Amino acid sequence: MIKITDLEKIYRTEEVETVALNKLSFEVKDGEFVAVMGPSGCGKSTLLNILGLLDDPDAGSFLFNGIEVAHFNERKRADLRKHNIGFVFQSFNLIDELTVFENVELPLIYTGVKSAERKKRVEEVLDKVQIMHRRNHYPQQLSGGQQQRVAVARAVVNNPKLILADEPTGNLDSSNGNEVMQMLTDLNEQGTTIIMVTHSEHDSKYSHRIIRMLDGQTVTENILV
Amino acid sequence: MFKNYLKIAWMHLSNNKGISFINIIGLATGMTFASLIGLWIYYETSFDSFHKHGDRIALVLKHTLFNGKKNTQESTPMPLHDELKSNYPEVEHATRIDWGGVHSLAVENNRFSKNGRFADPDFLQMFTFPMIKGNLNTALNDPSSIVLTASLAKALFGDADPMNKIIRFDNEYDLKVTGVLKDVPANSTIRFDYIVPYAFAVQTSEFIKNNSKNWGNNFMMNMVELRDGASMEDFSKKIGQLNTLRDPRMKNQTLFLHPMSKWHLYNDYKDWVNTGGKIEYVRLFGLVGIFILLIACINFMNLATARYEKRAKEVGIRKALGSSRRQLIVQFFSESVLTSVFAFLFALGLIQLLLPWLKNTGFENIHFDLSNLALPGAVLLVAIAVGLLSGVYPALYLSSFVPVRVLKGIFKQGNRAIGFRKILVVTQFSISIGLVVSTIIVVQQINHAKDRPVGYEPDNLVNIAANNDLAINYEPLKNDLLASGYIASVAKASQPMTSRYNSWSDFSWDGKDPGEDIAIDAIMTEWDFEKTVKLNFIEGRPFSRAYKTDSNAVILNEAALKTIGYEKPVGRTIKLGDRTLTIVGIVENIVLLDPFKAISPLAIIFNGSSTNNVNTIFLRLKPTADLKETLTAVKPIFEKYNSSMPFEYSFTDEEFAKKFTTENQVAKLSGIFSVLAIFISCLGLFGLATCMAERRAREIGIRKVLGASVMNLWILLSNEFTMLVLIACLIASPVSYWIMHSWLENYDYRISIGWHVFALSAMLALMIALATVSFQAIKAAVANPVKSLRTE
Repeated sequence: MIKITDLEKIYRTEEVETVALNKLSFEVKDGEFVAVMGPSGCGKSTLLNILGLLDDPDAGSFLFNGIEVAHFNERKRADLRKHNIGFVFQSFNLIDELTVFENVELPLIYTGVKSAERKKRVEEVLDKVQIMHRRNHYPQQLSGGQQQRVAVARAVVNNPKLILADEPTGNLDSSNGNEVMQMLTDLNEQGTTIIMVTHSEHDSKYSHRIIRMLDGQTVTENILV
Repeated sequence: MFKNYLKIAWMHLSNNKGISFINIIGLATGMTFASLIGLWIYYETSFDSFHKHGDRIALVLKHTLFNGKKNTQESTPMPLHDELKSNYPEVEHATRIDWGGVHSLAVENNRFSKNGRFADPDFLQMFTFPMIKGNLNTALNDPSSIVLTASLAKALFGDADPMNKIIRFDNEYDLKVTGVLKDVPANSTIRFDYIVPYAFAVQTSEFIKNNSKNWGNNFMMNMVELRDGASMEDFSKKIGQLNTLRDPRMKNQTLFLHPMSKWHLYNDYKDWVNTGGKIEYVRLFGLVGIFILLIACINFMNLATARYEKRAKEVGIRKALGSSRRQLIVQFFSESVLTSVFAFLFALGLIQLLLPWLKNTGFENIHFDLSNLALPGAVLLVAIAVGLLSGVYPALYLSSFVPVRVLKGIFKQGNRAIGFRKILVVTQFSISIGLVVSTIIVVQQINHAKDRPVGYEPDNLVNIAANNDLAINYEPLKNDLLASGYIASVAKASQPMTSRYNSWSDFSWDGKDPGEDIAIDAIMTEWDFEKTVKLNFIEGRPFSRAYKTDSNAVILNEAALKTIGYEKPVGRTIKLGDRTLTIVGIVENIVLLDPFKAISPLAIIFNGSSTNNVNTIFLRLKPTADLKETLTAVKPIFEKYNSSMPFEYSFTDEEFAKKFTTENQVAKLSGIFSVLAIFISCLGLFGLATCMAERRAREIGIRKVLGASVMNLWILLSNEFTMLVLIACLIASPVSYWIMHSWLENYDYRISIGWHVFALSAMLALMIALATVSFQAIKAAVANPVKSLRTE
């Protein structure tokens, strides 16, 4: 599904040049669950942004489903992204002004799904993450765990092939965290590819494979399964 | 310490060049226009204020009831003057005065046509027109004397002493210079280049002489100065019925005093009630000025608050490092005052730049003199006040942040601040839209009156004021003019087409209600008048040499026919006093006076006299003739028959256009105010949009990650403002409808307000608002979402 080769990303200010990704290469197959680990500033977030088609690399190749996307323009990336990728963030990133239902509905609106169909799919997915009873609540009325369940629901409502999770349990206690990890595992078992950035050794054990990064490069790859 | 404050303030201004620029421009624009309006109001309210006894001087006005209409007029009868002067102890001084007229003044070969007035000796004592030479108390005693203004004296006599020199007046009379006055200030209602004793007019005009005891003929103004302590109101009551008392035929006429303090600003009467006048514009523009300044100040605060989230951290750090709240307040105040001082400097430049540009909008006589420190000083005070005022809210608000909270980054702007800003935007746009609506309606109303059929053809019609020489030599003059080949037709008449010299109430006809007072305007003329001014006949015919009986013929306009009520008018007769006139034709209504008013009845009467009532000579130019060539050819012909007056002419269409002066000024000013209000409103909107973009950055990021396109986001972000502008439209439309509806009530001939004016204004406001917001909306929409999400 994903193949990156010699990927480079450099941040420049007037005086400082920071190499975020330094000729990074790896591959993720369809249906894999991969954890990316490493200390702060090693380039994990940069990598996730590029994989999520939110940012473009300065050099190197990025094949997504066999298509070279490294130099896609904004519009093409957005199009590819909304049909194929779901995101789960550490801080949930729900929109405070919208209800649970409306938050989950958003990706469907942007992919042009009809209203009746949207309602059906949102209800299905809310049911799946067991948050249906709070569909009309606002994010701030929910606990952290509930918010992240809504975020996961939003990430999967479009049936993406790939889910990118950025420290999905970082803001949760262990029991809520485990619940979210179990949900990701279930999704993976149903065929969704998952790439997760995490600091947590515990969470990483849910994955099939761990990519460890340092200074923009992979240092080791542990295969767990 | 102070230097340090300034330094940091300067640093902030220059670090945020964009916002600082907008802030300074916005504030400077507001100050500029508030100052300009202030100058204008100061000027308009200063009219006639230089007269030492101004509070005791008044003009006698008269309410009349003619044709069932309640009118108020300045003209009063001549015997009123003697009556006031001799029988009323309250009167300290009184003068007769006319409306001014152009006469020729010649000293050897130095000839000028200048505007002067006839007035009594009291005039110089009543009014404060300071005398440079001559005796104030005696200068106008001799009927053959003349008092000049300084610039006219200089023009006539150069540097020589003008006193006791002789001036040839209208090529007929010799007048002796008995005084020189300072030039009349621009803010004087009474304007003139010279004063000649009214006694001279009495001596030289048969008409005036014959009417000196007639209470039924009104052809002059009477002005009085009351004694100290006398009440104008009481005096008005006392003289109220005087006219009717002296001549019982004058029914429904009331005399009263119109105090000098009201001459300039409160000069309109409707149905015998003073309805204000220019004061309405003074009030309206004053209000607009205050609004504009207020809006500019509020925008300033708004733009400052839009940057709060950025400044919050600075406040936290400063507080953590030991800065007291007082020091922070001083810091923020220094910034806002520094900004407003910059704005002030900018405004000074703008005022100088704009004043010449406003020349034809009523600002001709308004000067912003930098050498007079009082004016810029006043503006600077306003600037500092604006700076302090604008700084209060940011200073108190920003300095109140709790450092721990802002440093942790959990500072968020309250909904209250955002709601407040929305109210401001709605207010600003309501004012802007209201101004746009008003401008459109004023322009429509002007065009409506300009397009009104005037009943003749004002284009290519030249007026020449006729004096006695021209009247006597009219026939050879006419032949020479026609022989020149440039002129299609020539006519003489008692008046130009853009005025009314005569309106008489002694017409009678079969079936006239004897109890009714009806006045009919009268133009006296002869053959070729209809051909020269191009009247439009509805029935009948013009005066013709073929009919001997035409010496007593009359042509009526539609309004006169309606008043008289004849079914088949041509051939029937009406009476003017004892003279019987035969109606030979009916013409379309002619607009002589106010193009916004209903048209009065008019009688065009055949005038066989060669000298009486010949005041204007009309030339109809050939449409193909070159104007410059024509005038060059015509000039020597006039000079041949009239050596006393320089050849001077006016174009009827230009004279007609002058009737729109006030309305044109209002249209221009309200247009300028609209543009300005929109500009300042857009600055406010821009501030709000900036703030919105910062506040919603995270949400925009999330939506983008979830697949929102730039278009989606643009619509999302603009929607909010579209709503605000639509609300503003809903508020502005009924209010401006109401205001403009009552403004239009001032005019008899007026448009009705159409819905499309509101639709157009709303669309305009919406488009401008969207353009303003879109800059920020699109900027926010194309930003990389990674950045806004990373800050979490």
